[in-house]
Amino acid sequence: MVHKRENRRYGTNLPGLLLVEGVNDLNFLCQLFVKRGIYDYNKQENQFIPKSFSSKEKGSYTELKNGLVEELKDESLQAIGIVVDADENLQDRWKDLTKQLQKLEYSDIPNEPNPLGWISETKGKIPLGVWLMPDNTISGILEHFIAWMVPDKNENPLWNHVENSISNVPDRRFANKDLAKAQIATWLAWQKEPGQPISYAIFKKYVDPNSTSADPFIAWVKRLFQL
Amino acid sequence: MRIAGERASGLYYFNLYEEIVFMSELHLNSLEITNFRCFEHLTIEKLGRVNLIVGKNSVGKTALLEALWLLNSDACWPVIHKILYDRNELVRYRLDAMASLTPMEQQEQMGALKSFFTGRPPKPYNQTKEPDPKFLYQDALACSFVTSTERFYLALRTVQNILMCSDSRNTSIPLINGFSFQPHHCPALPQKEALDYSVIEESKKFKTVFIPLAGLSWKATCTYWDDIVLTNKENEIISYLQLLDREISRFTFKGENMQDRVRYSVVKTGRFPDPLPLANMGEGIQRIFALALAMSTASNGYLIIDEFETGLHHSIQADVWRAVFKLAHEWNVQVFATTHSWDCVEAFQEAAAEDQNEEAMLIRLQRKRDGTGIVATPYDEESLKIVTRQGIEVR
Repeated sequence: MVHKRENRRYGTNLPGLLLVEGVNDLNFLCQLFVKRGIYDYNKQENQFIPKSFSSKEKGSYTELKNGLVEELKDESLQAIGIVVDADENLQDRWKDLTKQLQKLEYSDIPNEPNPLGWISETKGKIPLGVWLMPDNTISGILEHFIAWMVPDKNENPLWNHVENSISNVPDRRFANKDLAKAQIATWLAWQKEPGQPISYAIFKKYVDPNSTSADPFIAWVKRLFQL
Repeated sequence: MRIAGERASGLYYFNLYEEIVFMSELHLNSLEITNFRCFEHLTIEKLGRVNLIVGKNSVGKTALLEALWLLNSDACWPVIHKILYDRNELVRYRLDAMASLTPMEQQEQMGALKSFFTGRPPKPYNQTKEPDPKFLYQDALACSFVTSTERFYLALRTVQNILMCSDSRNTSIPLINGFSFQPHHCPALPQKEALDYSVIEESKKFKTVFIPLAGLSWKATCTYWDDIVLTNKENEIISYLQLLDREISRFTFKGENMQDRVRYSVVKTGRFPDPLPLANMGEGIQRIFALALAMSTASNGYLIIDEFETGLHHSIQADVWRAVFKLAHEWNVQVFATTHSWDCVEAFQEAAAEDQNEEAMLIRLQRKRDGTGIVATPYDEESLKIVTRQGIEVR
């Protein structure tokens, strides 16, 4: 028997479903939902308690994209959201998603992603929302979004030091697209408890869950799932 | 599989005994059900050779199996009766073998039969007007099962008979007015023992076997075994049993024709010099044995199983499915099974992916989003692969 990787999911039998790429994204966003009052949290059991919508990671962008048709077969589903990285080219990612959504008979897809997060209103289909990390307007990844939530980022001496040291790193081995990843990893490495995952960063307020930079994303989630 | 060619009638191939088997002749390729139990209108556009039906409680998984059973047994009375008794829609049997149909029995059966029709509509009885036996009027209840090759109607007329009609699809006949039906005269209630034997006889006649939740009855198991003993199929069934226990080499029934003895099954294993009762070897092996016998009886026909996983540990389910795919192909059986178990869905997918023929279909019954009834959502082998890999809930 082939060993199967289990996709992690929080929440079952809820009317909404949010799909994200990986486990890190999932845990970070769910922790953010807790701090923003969208999800509850059980401290004893150390568990997220989703309300209104479940969240689920698909392992990768490709898996997420290819699994959409199967997820949408669930007739009990009332709304579905997709959070993916824009990655190196926002336009390409949007076009690729557009192609897939058209196959699924979504017809009102704009040429450009909506800066406030897009939500389809195609008749006869359930609302489907797309958020391209970090903000639907630039290429990038979840870590850019997280970096904007660093408290007083521009005047923060530790953050400045993170940026400076990484730009001066000798024998730099990562590609430019992963710069934000390196910065967040370094930022986490130099906190009181070094080396914790990014979901923990919110919990410990290494990044500010109430940062206004996250407001448009939270507003999109609330619009999509009618919270 | 050896595909020997394609003709107007579809694919055919040679089975193990070098007999030509036409694949599409017996196959239901699609199914449309109207007005039967909870299905006001259910369409399944594509069926596979091996079909697994999933869905939450009360979405009609068993009703779908009943529809298939009725359709493939020409709605014969023993099958109608069996369905009604199993659902406690009929509860009284006949005691006296010689008794004839009484008006009360007739009323009981007609009343029970209403449960076949969506919403159990309390249609007014129009007793004053005697209907023309050749025509079905608006005051009758009717349901239909339409496949790619056949339309099958079942109707309950108000006064005395159930009416049924099977017709080839190429004639377009209106369902209600002016349509000629064959009356299907209501029999006396069956005796309990006799009903079981009639159901077994019909299953052989129509090559359509239904395995209920409780498993194949002992009577059916014995009868089916007697049909294949000392044939090539016996060896295949033994090799199927070896899936669970490699040591099994022979199988037989021991029966005493005395009132105080029972007939029971024994196997010879390599471990002991004496034969062992099959019942000693666990629920799983008995279930598998019954499954193999049912498949052999359903050769060139249909096997219908309520809750496939019953009695099977999850570790052997994939093996059992593999055998089902293999036998379904070799013996030309179309299989319909239900399940609640995710393990069973995964095992089904695993076996389907290994099988070279694209023959598996998962059918999910669910309530429609807009609340207008039940819909059948199909998942072919490609879909199933994604569903099981990503853990997408389909049950």
